[in-house]
Amino acid sequence: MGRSGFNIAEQGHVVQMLAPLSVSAATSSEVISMENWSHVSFICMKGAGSSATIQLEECTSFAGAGAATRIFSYAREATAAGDTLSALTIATTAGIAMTTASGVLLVIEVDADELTDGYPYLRLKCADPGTTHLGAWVAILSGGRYQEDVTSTVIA
Amino acid sequence: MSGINISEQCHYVNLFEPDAYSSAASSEVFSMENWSHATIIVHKGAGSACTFRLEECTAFAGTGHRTFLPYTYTAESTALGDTLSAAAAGTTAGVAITTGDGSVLIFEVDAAAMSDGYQYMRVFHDAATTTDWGALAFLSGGRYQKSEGATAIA
Repeated sequence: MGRSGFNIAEQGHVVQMLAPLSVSAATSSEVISMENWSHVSFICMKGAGSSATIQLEECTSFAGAGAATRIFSYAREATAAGDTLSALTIATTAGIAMTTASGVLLVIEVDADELTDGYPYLRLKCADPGTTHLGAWVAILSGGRYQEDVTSTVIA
Repeated sequence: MSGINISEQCHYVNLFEPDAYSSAASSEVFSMENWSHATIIVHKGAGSACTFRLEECTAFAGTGHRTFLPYTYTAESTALGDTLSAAAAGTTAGVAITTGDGSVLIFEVDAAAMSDGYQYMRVFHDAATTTDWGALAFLSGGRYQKSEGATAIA
């Protein structure tokens, strides 16, 4: 990224992992392929409602075959309506809980070379939150192998 | 390129948290004073179409707000797709996000394009019927950049 910034639409690739939704049961996201990208940042946004624990899974196909939870690096804004993330920290395979505050956010950073051989696919999931909360998850992939201004799909 | 670690190389601002919006509103105001570029991502769930436009202003309070040009935008109008359109120039009328559940709209703004004295920006939407969506901004090309960036909303 140069001094002029990161034009995400053309220099990255955006995937809506979970469209804004009232989450009331265990939920898994879209599956993405890291085959042609070196890095992905997942942004998990939460609105009003209960806390939710987010986990990262790697798998062997778009269908989510062989899904296995992974450790990951994350940064978090746990204060409602804040915009200052914590320092990056390692989460266990148990995942990380978002707080109950409205307007909090979790950023998960994953390098493709961390993934297990044969497991180039990733997805997010959250356990049953017990009571409803509003959530939305987005993935931004970067460091593309074959990169054009209009990038190709990574979900099929 | 090994990719962009967004949590350390960019700065995010939560413009509209995920919610069911049913009346027009303006977002959090953020400052572009120390950043050269902003990407604003609007992601929509179920509900009606609505139009978003960018406004520049002279203070965090939204003082002197006026419609901002020039900017470019891209969109994914297909439900649950992930292939954006080519970048197109936006107009003062703003850009509509479609009714598709899972559609995305992305605005790209260079700080150098903002008017003198108008270094603050916000997003306005005209939602009139209930629609689930959220929006966030990523600021990049920071002047004083650290692994944990300083706030851009106060």
